[in-house]
Amino acid sequence: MEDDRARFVELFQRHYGAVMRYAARRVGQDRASDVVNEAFLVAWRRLADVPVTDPLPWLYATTRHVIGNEIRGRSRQARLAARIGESAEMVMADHADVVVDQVRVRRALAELPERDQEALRLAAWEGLDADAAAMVMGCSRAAYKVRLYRARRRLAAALAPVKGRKTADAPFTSFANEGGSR
Amino acid sequence: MMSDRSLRAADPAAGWRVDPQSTQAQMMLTGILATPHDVNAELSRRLPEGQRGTTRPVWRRRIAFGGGAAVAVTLAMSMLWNGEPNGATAAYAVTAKPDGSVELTVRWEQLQNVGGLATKLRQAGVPTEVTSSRPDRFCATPADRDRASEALNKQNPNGQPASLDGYVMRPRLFPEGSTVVISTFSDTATQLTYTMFYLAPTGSTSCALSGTLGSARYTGPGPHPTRLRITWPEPAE
Repeated sequence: MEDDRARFVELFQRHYGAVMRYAARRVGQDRASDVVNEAFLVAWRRLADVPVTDPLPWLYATTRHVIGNEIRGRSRQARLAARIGESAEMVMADHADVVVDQVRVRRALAELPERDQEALRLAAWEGLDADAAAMVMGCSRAAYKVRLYRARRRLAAALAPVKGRKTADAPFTSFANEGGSR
Repeated sequence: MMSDRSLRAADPAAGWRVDPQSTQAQMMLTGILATPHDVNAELSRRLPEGQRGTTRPVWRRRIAFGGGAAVAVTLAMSMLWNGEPNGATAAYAVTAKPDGSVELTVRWEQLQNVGGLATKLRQAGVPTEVTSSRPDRFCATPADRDRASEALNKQNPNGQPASLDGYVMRPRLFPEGSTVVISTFSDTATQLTYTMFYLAPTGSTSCALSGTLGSARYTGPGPHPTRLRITWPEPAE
């Protein structure tokens, strides 16, 4: 039991920040602590299931599940979306000189299907490689890479809806952390 | 690359500094560690051999307590509750009022995530700590404890009971340097699990500045007694 406590404390201290940021990116900073509390509570109760090596994808996947449950269980999707919008506006006020592109990208991202958003966020914001991102999304590495490829094309199309322009020509290319194809 | 630059720059949490040593983080950690590590294992340990198994419905008996002196309560049939810990209904509601008070309503028999409740209370402006041990003594005189009942009580501002399991907290009236403590502990002899909350000096959860409020639930195996005598475990003077 004491070993479990020590292991969990180390897990919490090491990954609390990353999991908080993961949650804040999806539900806003004001809701992040609730979500993270639930996610780490699951980790504590299922500590035997938490990978000893590289547990962060497992924690992300659990947090994603908590967020999904909350949205489904409480029908809060609209309110959460509104909170995300508020969060973006707050950032805009703080960084007025560079936010035009940021807000534009965020809005284009928000228009994509949730799975596309998640594929892009995991690569760009969490910095996960394809194996880790696939674990978070509960799919194979190949499926994730296909999903990311398509998500990138859709985001590019949303950002550059110029008539006659082919999305294949869009300027979005691979992330450095994606790794090569296998 | 364009993708790196644009999407990374749009990260709404890129500049958010999160400290795992912060008070918020440490309180979250404490709350989580205060909850049962493995619910099924905990329950199995409490049940005698041959009576283990958690899939059948469990009738739970619980009673909510208000502050005051030690009491002995006879649990009547009318207080039987059908325990549905995984039911859809929320186990608690925390409401911050415009006058600065915070109203808490709890379905004690459904409350499993004490850490989550503590987080909610802190977010509503109520300093809250979680512990798994009972307070062993009072560290305020009876008169001071009576005054503390203005800060932590079952009564609403009109002096009426807020609800069967409703409580009103007024953080502005808390004694200086005090915090609400939520304590969950079990008595293996009686198969009762207590969830108790009270005011205590910050960092000293074993000493109560106020009367103790909360609930006692019978969590033992059946067959269940139709009447159960519960003595509320008050701290020593």
